[in-house]
Amino acid sequence: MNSRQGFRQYMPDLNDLAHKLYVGCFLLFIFAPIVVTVLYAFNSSRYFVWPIQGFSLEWFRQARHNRLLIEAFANSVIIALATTALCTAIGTLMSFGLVRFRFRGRGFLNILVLLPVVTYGIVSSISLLLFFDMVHIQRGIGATILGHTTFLFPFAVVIINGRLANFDTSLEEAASDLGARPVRVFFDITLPLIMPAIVAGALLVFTLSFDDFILSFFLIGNTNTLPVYIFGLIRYFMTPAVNAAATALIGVTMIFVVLISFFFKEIRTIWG
Amino acid sequence: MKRAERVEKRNYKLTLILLPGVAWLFLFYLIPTLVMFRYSLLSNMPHIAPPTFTLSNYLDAFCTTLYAKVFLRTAGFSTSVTAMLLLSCFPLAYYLAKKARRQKEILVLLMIPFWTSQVLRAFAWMILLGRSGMVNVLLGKLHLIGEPLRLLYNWQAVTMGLFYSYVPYMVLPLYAAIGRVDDALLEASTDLGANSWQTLWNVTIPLSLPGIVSGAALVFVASFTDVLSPTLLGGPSNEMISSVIFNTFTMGSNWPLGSALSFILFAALLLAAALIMVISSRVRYET
Repeated sequence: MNSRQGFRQYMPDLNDLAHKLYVGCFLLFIFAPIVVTVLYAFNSSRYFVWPIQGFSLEWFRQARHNRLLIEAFANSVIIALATTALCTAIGTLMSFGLVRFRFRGRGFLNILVLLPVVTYGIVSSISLLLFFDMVHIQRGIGATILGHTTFLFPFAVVIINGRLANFDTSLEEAASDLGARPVRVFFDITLPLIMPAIVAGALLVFTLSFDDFILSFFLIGNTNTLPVYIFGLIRYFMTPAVNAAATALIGVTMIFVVLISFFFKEIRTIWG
Repeated sequence: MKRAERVEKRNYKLTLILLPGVAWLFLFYLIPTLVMFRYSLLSNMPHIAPPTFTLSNYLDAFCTTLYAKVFLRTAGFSTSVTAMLLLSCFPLAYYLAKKARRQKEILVLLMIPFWTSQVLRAFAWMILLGRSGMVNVLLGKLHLIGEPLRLLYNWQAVTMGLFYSYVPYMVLPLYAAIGRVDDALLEASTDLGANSWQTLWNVTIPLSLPGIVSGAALVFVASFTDVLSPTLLGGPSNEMISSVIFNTFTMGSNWPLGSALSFILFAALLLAAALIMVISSRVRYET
């Protein structure tokens, strides 16, 4: 009897241990590819043979003198910054209109704004490619910014909607009762209160834009963004210089992951 | 009079607020989609010869066994990846939602593959699964294999790439749904004599159905339209619909046919989204 009780008490621990082991293996699976990519960036050999041959900064030195790589990186940053600015402005306005006003066609607009999220990918890239071709908009950084904004501002709208919908309007009412005009109410009360959602949306848009491959591939023309450049390299010839570029990309992304995790609640509203 | 003025002022304001977004969507989303549709009806590329309007691209897309096969294969890949992710992520999400102490930190870690570029995810697997990559070498050291295995450019590699990419799409909705299941209900079930499997099957799973539906929907749609996994990790016999369209526009020159395939995919995506909305609203209503 006694030993049996002891066994019972021990059981949940075993269960918990199995769970922990499972989570550990899963995390290993998630991280192994990324860690290996970073390790090869410091490998002294030029071949992707396991184990790593030795430590070297050669590939970073090469990357620093690689004009194409630097240009691609700069393009990515410019595109992501411009896209973030546009998406934040358009997205905040649109979200405010959708949540705070009742008007005919609101239901339709709520669905329309989600469509780009659904068809983001190859379909949307092709349609923009053909459209820009038809109206003679030159492919390049500008076209890519237009494309990214079209498909990423809906993400900002969804996140800001989440905050605006669960929002205590009594503060706004108090402000307007005290004589503040609507514009003043918006800038002094509403905007500061929804700021976390706006920032979370901006971070999400920046990351998605910086990492985007498919839209940029079709819209960037004869220059490159970082993902498009890396794609070209790994499709035709692989050298560890790619890993140095990849490590730069991972580095930027990681910084954003840390920032975004601060605004985790806001981001989670996307998944419903 | 005053009321009419107020309404007018409100409408004016609303127009100003909504105009940028709506105009943007019309100009850069709806019109390009129509342009793509128009292109899919052309008989040939406009710069070669003046084209005529025809339905032959759609006939080609629907009647050629090649494309039928590609569509079926894509559906097969997406379905199996969705099932695999559901089975492997449910225990994980359950542990995170109900038992783990550092929930938030583990979730942030799990989202890492989502935050790194898709190109990098595929690249990482190319290095790991290569002929003398880490997996082959470790298997050889353990004497599990004599010769290096051919791990890349087959359907297993494509499945692996898709699985790896969409872990967060499954984990997050499941985590949110399981977290909402009331612990009191689980305790009640145990007190009434159900064993843990019965509780799981009769209480936890039905109550977390909304999360299961939205996770499965997100993974299915995302993997259905994935370009990079089949392009970089698959061989010629593992093409999926998106990579076929991709190749038509990059290497081939039959843009009208590519547009037709693309428009079919567009219609399929809208249909899937509508279906998912109906199912998930019904599921939410029932639970």
